[in-house]
Amino acid sequence: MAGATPATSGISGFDLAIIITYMAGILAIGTYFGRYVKSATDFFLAGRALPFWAIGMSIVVSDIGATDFIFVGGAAYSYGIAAANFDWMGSMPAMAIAAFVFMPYYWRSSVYTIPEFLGKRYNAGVQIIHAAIWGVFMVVMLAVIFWTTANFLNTTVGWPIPLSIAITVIVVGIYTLSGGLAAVVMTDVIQMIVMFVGGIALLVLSLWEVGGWSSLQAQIGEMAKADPKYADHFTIMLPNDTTTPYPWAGIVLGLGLIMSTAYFSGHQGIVQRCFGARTEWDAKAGMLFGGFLKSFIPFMVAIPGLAAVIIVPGLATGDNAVPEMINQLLPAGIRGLTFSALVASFMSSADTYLSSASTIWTTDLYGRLYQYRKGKAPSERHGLIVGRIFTVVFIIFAVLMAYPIGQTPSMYTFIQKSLSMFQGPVFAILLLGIMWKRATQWGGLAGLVLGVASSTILHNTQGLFTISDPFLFVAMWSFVFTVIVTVVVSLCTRPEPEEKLRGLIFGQVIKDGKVQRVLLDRVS
Amino acid sequence: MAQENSTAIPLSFIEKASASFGKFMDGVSTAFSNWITAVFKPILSPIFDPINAFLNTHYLPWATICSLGLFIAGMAWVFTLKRQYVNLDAPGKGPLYDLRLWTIVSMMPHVIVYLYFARWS
Repeated sequence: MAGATPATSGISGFDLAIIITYMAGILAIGTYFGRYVKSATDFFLAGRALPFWAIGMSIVVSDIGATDFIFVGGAAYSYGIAAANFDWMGSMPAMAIAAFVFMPYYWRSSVYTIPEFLGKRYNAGVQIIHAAIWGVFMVVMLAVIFWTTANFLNTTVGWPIPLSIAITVIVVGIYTLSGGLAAVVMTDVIQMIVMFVGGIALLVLSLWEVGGWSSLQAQIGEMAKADPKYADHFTIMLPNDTTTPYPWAGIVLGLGLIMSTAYFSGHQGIVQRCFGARTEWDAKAGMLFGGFLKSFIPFMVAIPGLAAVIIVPGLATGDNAVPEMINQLLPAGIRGLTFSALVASFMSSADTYLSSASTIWTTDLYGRLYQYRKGKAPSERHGLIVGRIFTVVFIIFAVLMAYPIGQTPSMYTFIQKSLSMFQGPVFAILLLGIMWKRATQWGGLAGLVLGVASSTILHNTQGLFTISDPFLFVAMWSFVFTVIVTVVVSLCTRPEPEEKLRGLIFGQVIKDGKVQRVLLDRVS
Repeated sequence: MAQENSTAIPLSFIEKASASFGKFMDGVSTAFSNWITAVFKPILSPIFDPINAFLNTHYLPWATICSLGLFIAGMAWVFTLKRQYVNLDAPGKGPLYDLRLWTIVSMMPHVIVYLYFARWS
């Protein structure tokens, strides 16, 4: 969370040189892609030319922020291997569904954003509500990430907060502004490689230090005899009434089926990479490749967190575990590289939110308003200029808001909770929109509005669930409620015309390759 | 530590405003939550209490079966889809480009992990 990065020190001059070289290199590579940006499609969708491997690597690094690196390690330190569920249970099943159910229809409909797809499938009301919520969320999250990055650089490298924010803004802002999604994705590729090198180094040295995996299990097993809080450190599925945030039913049903699917199918920052795929196959393959890579993340994060139980016992908070391990275990050079990996994941999150916020505001809010007033969509050139203006405006806003938001953790928590309340309902109308042709625009609108209301009620009704922060259960039940509302209202309203639904409904094309080829040609 | 360093910056107004805003947000959030609880808990408890009780009494082996089942069902589901649909626009025709096999390969590390850490009783 913002402002929670633990204090560390011990960065040598060599480490610092690596971090600075890394930042300069990322800036140069990202800016290089600016020469290929000539239109809004180039800027927002990388000219629809992204290969699967770049999409997959970019999805992973965008998904795994440095906060995840620190907090998943910290959660593994405190609660055990169950903390890894968010990267294991919360990835591959959802990514397969995203790849084979959602991506083909997103890609074929040539949309820039999820709200735009919802607008095509339902109506402008659904599009604007969805875009407004995501647009505001992403801009505020950008401020949070600027603050967190600056705080991290301040504690590790010793740079003052204003200087740290300035450096982050200059690096991320310039390459995102000039190169758009292509720069974001290609810098993500480098950032992922750096993240994996640093993460693997940390994993290997952690296990080396504790005498290997068996020794780690034996030592924590011994500790569990004296302190029962370590008893479940190697149990991946915990009881439903656990005091940890990982009850098994919430993990399987809430996370595995609903929240993670909503995330990988409906998070603009994630799916925008697939919108920019060069072919439909690359969009699907990119999602699967990302899922494969993501399966290794917990090994690099959670296992060092477990090893920290032995190496650095008695920490005040588990969130200090990974930075402490980096400081204690890694030699100069590798330590700089690992800190670069953490900076990389911060920057990747920042560029994702910046790029996606700009896309949503340009396409779904400004674009809708322009169309309403002028009766036509903005031209490609117009979209490019507006997109860049929004990018600059969001950078300025985020810089101005970084400090106040960083100093107000309750606001950050409020924003995060608000978004989690939105996930179940949005996923419900996305799923019904693609899977059920009878879902109508009014069903979708009612489902979205009442679904968000239901999750607000569920989240704020104290004592309804056995765990203190029941967001997994809230996502699951608000999804169920939204499905019911959408189905009931849809059945009570007039069906959508066939013409509107063509190419947007799963069953229409899955049964016949020739039909889908015709639809694909029509779209392109 | 970062926050200590940053206090050297003349930002006292922003700090005070942020703190006040934070307190205001906390107050609003608590009041809203109390109101929602008073109104809706009597309605929702009869629905959710039996579900919670059921889930609390069903742990092992169901947790393990459900977690593994999700991955295995995912792998099986992909093979129910038409090959043309799954592999449309593939750059080649061999198994290397078959995304159904990619799904199996991508899910196997997860299955192995869940089997390794599984508890059955």
